[in-house]
Amino acid sequence: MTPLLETRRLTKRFGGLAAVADLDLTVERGEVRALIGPNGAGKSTLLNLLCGVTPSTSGEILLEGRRIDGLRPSAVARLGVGRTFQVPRLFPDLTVLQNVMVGYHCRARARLLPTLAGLPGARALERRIEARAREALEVVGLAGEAHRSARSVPFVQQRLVEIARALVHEPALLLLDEPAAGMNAVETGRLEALLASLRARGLAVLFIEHHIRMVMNVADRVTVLDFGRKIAEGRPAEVRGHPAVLEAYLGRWTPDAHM
Amino acid sequence: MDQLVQLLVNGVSMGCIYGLVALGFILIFNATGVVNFAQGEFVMLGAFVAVTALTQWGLPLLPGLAAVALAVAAAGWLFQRLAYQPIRDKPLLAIIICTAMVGAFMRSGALLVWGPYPLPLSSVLPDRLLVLGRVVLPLQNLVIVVLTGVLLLGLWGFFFRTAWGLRLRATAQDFDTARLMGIHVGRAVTATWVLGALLGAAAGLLLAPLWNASPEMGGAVALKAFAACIIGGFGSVPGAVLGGVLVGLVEILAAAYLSSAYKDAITFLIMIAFLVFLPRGLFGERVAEKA
Amino acid sequence: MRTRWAAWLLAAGLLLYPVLAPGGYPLRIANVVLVYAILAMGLNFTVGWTGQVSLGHAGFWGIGAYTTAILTTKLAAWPAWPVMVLGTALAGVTGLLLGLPTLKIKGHYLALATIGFGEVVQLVFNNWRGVTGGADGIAGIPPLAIGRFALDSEPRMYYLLLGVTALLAAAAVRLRDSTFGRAFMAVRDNELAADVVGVPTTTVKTLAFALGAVYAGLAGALYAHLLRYISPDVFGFEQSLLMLSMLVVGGLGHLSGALVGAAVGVVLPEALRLFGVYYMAVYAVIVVAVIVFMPLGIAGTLLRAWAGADGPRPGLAPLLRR
Repeated sequence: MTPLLETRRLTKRFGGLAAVADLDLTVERGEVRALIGPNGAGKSTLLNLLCGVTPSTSGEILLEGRRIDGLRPSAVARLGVGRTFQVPRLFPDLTVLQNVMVGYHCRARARLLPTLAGLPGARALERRIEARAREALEVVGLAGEAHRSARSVPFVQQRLVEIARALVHEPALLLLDEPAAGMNAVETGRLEALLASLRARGLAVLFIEHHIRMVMNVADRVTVLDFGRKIAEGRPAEVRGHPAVLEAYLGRWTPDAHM
Repeated sequence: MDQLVQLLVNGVSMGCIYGLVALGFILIFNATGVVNFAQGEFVMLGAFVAVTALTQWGLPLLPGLAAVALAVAAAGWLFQRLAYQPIRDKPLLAIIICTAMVGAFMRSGALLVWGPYPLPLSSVLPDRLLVLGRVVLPLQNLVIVVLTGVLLLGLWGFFFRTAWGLRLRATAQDFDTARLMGIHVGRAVTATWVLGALLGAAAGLLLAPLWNASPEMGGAVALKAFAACIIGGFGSVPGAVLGGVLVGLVEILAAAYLSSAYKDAITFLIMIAFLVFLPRGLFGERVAEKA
Repeated sequence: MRTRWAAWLLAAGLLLYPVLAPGGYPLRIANVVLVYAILAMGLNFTVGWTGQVSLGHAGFWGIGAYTTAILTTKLAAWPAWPVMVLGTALAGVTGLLLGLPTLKIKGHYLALATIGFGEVVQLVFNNWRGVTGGADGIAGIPPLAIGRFALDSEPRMYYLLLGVTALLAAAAVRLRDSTFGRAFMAVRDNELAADVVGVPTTTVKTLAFALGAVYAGLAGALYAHLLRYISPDVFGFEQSLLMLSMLVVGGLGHLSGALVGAAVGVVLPEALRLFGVYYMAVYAVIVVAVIVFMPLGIAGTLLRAWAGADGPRPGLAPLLRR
């Protein structure tokens, strides 16, 4: 059976510098995969490549066996890839609920003239979108915040809104860029529970994280990047003792308080 | 062939005027990031003030020109104080509307001061024809090209041979670093606005004998200067001047060989084509596309 | 409750306006306000909701007006209503054709491209003499008629324009509160994020641009029938700038802002004509003052006062933000 996501010799160069080099990565359906590595290892670049924000220099990206490299981000999203950003990128002038509703855009199939005329079909679609968005907010635990304006929501919750916005169009793969950054222990615990529940629903998650404890708790497998190359991969316990990982982390990287 | 030479000279001389306006425009853009939609109004102002100083008051040429320079420099300073400083942190749309509205204000003011009828300005440039074999050239056009060349040379000297020029260049290149290096960036920006106004006024002085001074003259020139900046490459200083010359040539040749009614339309269509297919222009840097 | 009363009062006032303010001049002003209200609502799709600068809106207006003028006068003498549909569609298609390539560019580049478009359109009006009458314009445009009931007086045109404006405002509200409107604002607020969550940004921007052009085209056709005479000087850069200033003064990003702005942008210069030729100078100062001291505009400031700073209002706090 084809894996959900596969990259083949994926490479991205900025000038002479290879941010991602010859990367072969495979993510299976329903798998929670952590992506770790020192700062500047190419983790965020990899996420940008996968969702189409940054064009790759060479190599292939396949989603369910289908080439998606070279597609626009909106097309990649439609095929089932959701993503969040390290610094949340919400639509500040919309409410939380509206933010999540935008995420359903590519599934909505709204038509212009019925919408302009206010036909029942268009109104029913609108109700359906709202119901889906409320469900997604329920999943991330923000149902009570639906009508706040996005700009007034605290930073940590903005990230949850982003996750809801990505979930609402039912992606097969969710890409999260440091979802736990800035979260306290309680919030991180809730996030871990959320990721576990998403896995239970059959979603695959690929997340960048510096909270090593969180990686140990929720990841099925861990991929370690350094200088854009994969230096180790395996179950969390295996990776932790891997000599190359120790060298990459202890050699140059200053471990932060979360280690 | 002779006709072609004539056309080329005329085109280049018109292009020099566009180039001067475009240059003022791009200097301000580089230093402040402001797209000044009132740049054409400095052209108009220069022309009108010259009419007042030279024709109406009858000042001799050099004191007259000094008076024009002083008046326009003051206008440039006022412009940056009243129209740029209050809005410099606002988003693009606010800046576009503000500068364009101040332009409308200046046109309306000129209407009040100088009236709606075009005023001639004759005393600056010799109004004679130069006959070289079978080629007949208006001396004015040659003088425009020469004067523009002198002006550009002077500017080059200012920017590359004086401490003030160095400060302005540093500010335009990297505002924050220039500040860290101890350059008074506020003053440098102000000086750039004044310089931009003066360049517009210089173009107005050269243009007034050809078109007469009128409240509407600035708008037509400003649009050509925009086109020059786009074609030359937005942000490129030599590109602005060369773009201006190219626009002048396109205009004259289009008028001669295609359609005099649609010469401006052809220029603008070329500008749109550049924007869509080659947004960095002929000499510009690559436009950053990263969000 | 109070809001509902205010709305009824406003509706009654609008309906009774021809009775309350008799005489040709106030009604003519009101009719022109309504034409600009349609124009401003159209531009609001592009600028206010989708965040794309356009300084060529008057070009689409002119395409609608000239289509009507050319085809309903003696040259062709086609029936007015189908021609109105044609002119509106033509403006929309032009918007589509202009938007597809140019909406990939941003900021001042887009502003300059749209200025160029507006200039080219105006040059065609001025120079295609055989068809457009050149600088003289086109006179003798027939009044609209419903059956044998001719809309040939200011009050009759007023009710038609009021009805059309109300319908178009209702359509805009529906669009704002739909997937389309949210996509517009998503592109405005954060284009990259919109793209990543599956909003095809170029398509969405082009749609907003074309919708703006459709509104402008319709406004042009109605304007031609209202004035019965059009000339090219009306459809230039100054008008595009005026329309943009209306949105800013009224409150960018609010439909009500477009309507308030249209009223202010027409009535104020008209009132300032008392100042003589320099009314434009006074208007310019007022617009700049609004941008500096009241960046949310009239409607935006009122709505914020009413809803509170963090209150959830669709499309609150528009582009005038860092």
